[in-house]
Amino acid sequence: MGVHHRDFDASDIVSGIFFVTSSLGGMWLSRHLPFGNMSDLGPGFSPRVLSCALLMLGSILIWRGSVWEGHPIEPWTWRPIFLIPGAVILFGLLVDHAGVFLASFASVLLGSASSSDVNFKHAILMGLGLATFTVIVFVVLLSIPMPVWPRW
Amino acid sequence: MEILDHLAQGFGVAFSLSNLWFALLGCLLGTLIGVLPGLGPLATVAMLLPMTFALPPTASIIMLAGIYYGAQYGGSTTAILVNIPGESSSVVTCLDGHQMARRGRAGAALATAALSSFAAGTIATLVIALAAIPLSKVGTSFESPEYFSLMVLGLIGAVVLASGSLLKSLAVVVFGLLLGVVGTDLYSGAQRMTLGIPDLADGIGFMPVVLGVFTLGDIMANLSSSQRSERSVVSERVTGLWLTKKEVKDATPAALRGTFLGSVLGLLPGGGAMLSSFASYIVEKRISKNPNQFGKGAIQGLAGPEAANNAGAQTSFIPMLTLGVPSNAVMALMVGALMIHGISPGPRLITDQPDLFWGLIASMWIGNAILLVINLPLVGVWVQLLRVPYKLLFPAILLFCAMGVYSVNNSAFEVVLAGIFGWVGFLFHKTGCEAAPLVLAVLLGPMMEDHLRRSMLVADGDLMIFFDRPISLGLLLAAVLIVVLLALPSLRTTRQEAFQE
Repeated sequence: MGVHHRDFDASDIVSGIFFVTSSLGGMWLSRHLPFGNMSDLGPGFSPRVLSCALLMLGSILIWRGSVWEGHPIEPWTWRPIFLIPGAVILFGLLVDHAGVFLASFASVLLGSASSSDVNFKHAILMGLGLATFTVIVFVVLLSIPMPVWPRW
Repeated sequence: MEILDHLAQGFGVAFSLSNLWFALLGCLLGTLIGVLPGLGPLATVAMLLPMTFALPPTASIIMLAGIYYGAQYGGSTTAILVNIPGESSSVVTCLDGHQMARRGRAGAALATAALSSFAAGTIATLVIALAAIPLSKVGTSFESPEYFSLMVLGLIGAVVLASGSLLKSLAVVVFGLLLGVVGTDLYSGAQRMTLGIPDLADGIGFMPVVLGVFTLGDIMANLSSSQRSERSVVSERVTGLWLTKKEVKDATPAALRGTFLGSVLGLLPGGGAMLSSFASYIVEKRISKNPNQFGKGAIQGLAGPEAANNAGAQTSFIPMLTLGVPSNAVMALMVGALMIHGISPGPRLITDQPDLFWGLIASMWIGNAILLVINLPLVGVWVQLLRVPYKLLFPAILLFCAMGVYSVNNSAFEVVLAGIFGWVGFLFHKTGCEAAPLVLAVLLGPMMEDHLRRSMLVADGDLMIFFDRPISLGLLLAAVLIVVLLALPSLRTTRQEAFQE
């Protein structure tokens, strides 16, 4: 494997950008909160101090990533990136209206599509099986009250 | 001796049929999930946490503790048989444990791990019992400045002991602290960073963050990686669990050293199982008469770290139970669990809830015993489990995450949040940011702010309050010391060596 002559470290830069963006978001969202004074710290104190600190750290990361060569980010496939959180979010969107069983089933179907090893028939079987299993464990065995079926 | 009375009381509680049952269940479930590659103790505890909410507090924490060691043990089993570390503290087990398995001594390796862990657990339980009362007494003199300084120490410890870039870990911690700000400010009633969403008025719960960042992030990383890892499971039947006399002779001192090391390191903020197992490996290698055996199946390289790992895991309960401050991410989850039950851990826990306190301590020993007894016969089951292809496992894990988050507050919003944090977790994974400090930060953040504000109110704005008070000053100096020690080149290379191996 040859030596990578890159001028930057992608992981530093990407994470730095993430932190800088988050810090700016924090500052923006807390802009109206009163800062208070040292003996009576206001609600705006923490968000602003933390956002500033995060901004500094993120900026240093971006700078550092631009000046030294480092490790590239390993390549990835996109499908799981969308489908895994997507499956969980789908569960959240469905569960209150369609109940736990259907939400579980849909979630497993969507999630399992992120692996090319899973064919549709398997996914359906898994969906049914897992939905049944989780309902049994959470609702029956643990007696946690949650809507199993859709409310009409 | 007063301690014996307390322990007797504890055993009385722990031996009740229902608590025994929950300890057993916790150990079994913990091992089961812990065996699965990629799910370490932290992710396992996080996933199974919601299941314990329906139980009374004592049973709940006993089960959680069982899940924790069960997961550690499961991780070791996987490390020995398949050479895939469940997470950081099993990395060391892979080194010599798997090599022993390759040489046909898989049974002996498993037995060594189990026995070392059991011995360590027994001794560590005694350590906890002895340290509990004095530490709680010290804790009662703690006020806001001390708590604040202790939490600072805890976070610094977590940053320093995290793998990877210090700068990134620090940023992760600050990010976590910022996340903790979201919600309603207790002092002024103001809504902070809630984007006007009513579900956020109580803040971002730690469950969506932990499950999203760790478990979902991990699944995404596994599925989207272009390398297909080949799992070379040691497939011959695991027989021969008996150790030869020589093996026992070699392993025992290592296990004892590991226990001592683990017990001490587990107390440190940020410490716990991982640090202990690394430290033990390094020590064993340095003092060994044949260091080149290490990495090829040296039994000391297995016995020491396994013992240290278990001792560290147990003693890391101490700061949480006596002072109410978690020293690492798993303890942060325990604190979270207790708080959901309406119990705030702190120096008064030992006097307010003696049954819970001593019952938990007694149950730790029982949990160790249970693990020893059930795991060796069940090895065959775990091996079969390891053969289950990932494409069947990950949808189940996915669903358990979603259901787990939902079951805490019946909040669909939190499930959606967990999904969003999955992306954060994936980003962290890809950019080499260690996520464990995030859990600690999210939990400690609100508490730290509270203590800071109170300290400032009392001190009328004078920051010197943190330095005038002796304990607080001591804690802050310790934090500085940890940072300085790390900057020293010799220790830095040791740390890098350890992480590289």
